[in-house]
Amino acid sequence: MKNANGDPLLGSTSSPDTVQQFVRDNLAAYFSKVINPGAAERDLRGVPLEAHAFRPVADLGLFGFLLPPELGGSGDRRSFGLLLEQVGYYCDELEFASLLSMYADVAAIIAAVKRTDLLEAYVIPMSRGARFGTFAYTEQSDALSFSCRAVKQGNRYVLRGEKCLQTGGHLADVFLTYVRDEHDDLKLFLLERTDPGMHIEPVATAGFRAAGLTRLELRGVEVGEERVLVRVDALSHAQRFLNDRRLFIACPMVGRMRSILGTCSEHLGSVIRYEAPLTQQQAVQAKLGRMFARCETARAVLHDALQRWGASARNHLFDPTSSAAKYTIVENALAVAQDAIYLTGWQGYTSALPYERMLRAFMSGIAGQTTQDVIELLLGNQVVAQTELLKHKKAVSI
Amino acid sequence: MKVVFSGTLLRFVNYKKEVELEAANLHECIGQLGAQFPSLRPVLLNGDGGVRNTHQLFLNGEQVDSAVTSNAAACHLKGSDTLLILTAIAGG
Repeated sequence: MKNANGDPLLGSTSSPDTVQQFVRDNLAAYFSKVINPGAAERDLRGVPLEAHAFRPVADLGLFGFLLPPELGGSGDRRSFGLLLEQVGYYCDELEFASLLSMYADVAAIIAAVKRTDLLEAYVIPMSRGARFGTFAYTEQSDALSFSCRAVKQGNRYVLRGEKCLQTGGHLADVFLTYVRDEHDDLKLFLLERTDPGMHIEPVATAGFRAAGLTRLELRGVEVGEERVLVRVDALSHAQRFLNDRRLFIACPMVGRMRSILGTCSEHLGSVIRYEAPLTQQQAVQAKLGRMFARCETARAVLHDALQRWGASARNHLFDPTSSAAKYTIVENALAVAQDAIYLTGWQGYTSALPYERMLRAFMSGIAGQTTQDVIELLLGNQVVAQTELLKHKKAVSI
Repeated sequence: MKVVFSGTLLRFVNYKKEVELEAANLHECIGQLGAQFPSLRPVLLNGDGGVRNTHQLFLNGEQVDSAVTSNAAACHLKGSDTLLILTAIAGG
């Protein structure tokens, strides 16, 4: 991923236009010829993307993009976010960008532990797309009531319980799994798919079907101390990971929204009603204008939030600005896909204009990386707390 | 002194928004909260007995640095102090 001078093609100073050109030059044709034609069929059959689908992004070094420079990456989340936005524009399948970001992020998380054995066994192969890892956190309860348990027996741990949803678990060789210990503290374990007692099965959904969602059951999985990546307060570790990823789920949606607007407008210009193209009707123009406003809103909040990331001006555990950006982008993406269906009628359900499929994919954002409802609640908590603090400060100054 | 809770933590303190107690330092304050609300203890503290990073502490309107919470006994308190604990725990 370097130019003729040996400089990285993408980095912390790359402009959105530079990133767009990179994706257009290196991946657009691949998406158009190889990935996009199979998207409708994968959705119809509920078949996830296979490992070989990611070979071109692996060859470009994108699975290692989030690694620190000393490991050959850029470590720059801002430019990776911009890259995901462009992947979302050119790739018809939102799941592709989602899996790319998950697999790249997991490699970076393991690298941050800074153990040579982990670099060799996991990080380097993952950065080349030879191995994949996912994040096993969610249970059928809130984080403070997790029931997965790790019991220490001698110098080993025995793990039991159920993690109900992982993205990209179908390809994952590694599951970063958060489990409660005997002190009711969370520990982070690295579990291998082949560890005895690991039971992984697909989770069927109505949308986002190429993302390879899985359910993981721990049936007495026995591992040694070397598999503990975070020994104390892995709850905070998980919150950092989720905080860092929250915006990534929204990045490709911004590109996809722009693509929907373009194809929708083009299609409507070719449809003749009352002896004129539909795009000459004011009602249609108004709806396209509303879609444009939503696309621009989403793009603006995304770029602002990514810029703040680049400047490190954020709360590392729960950042209100990037959380609000994810929330806003998802709501606008849902509205744009829905408007496209209103405008195109039955054709919005076809593989030629797959707006209904995209609406289902966007709905993954309602639940993914913290539900929209919980984000509202947490943002509201922040507002109330800040008001309390301000009140206290005023009282002290008086 | 007064301790103010918000969000997720409220269920572990019987939904009391504010608690009054007497403590000479932050270590004592946290110890008393754990004694008064046993189910709060594992939520507030990690396996090593330190305050989890997921909780943001504000003393009289100023954020308490994690270096201070890790040496809580050295953080002296007085009767007029207000400690606000802000907790934001997100899902996956």
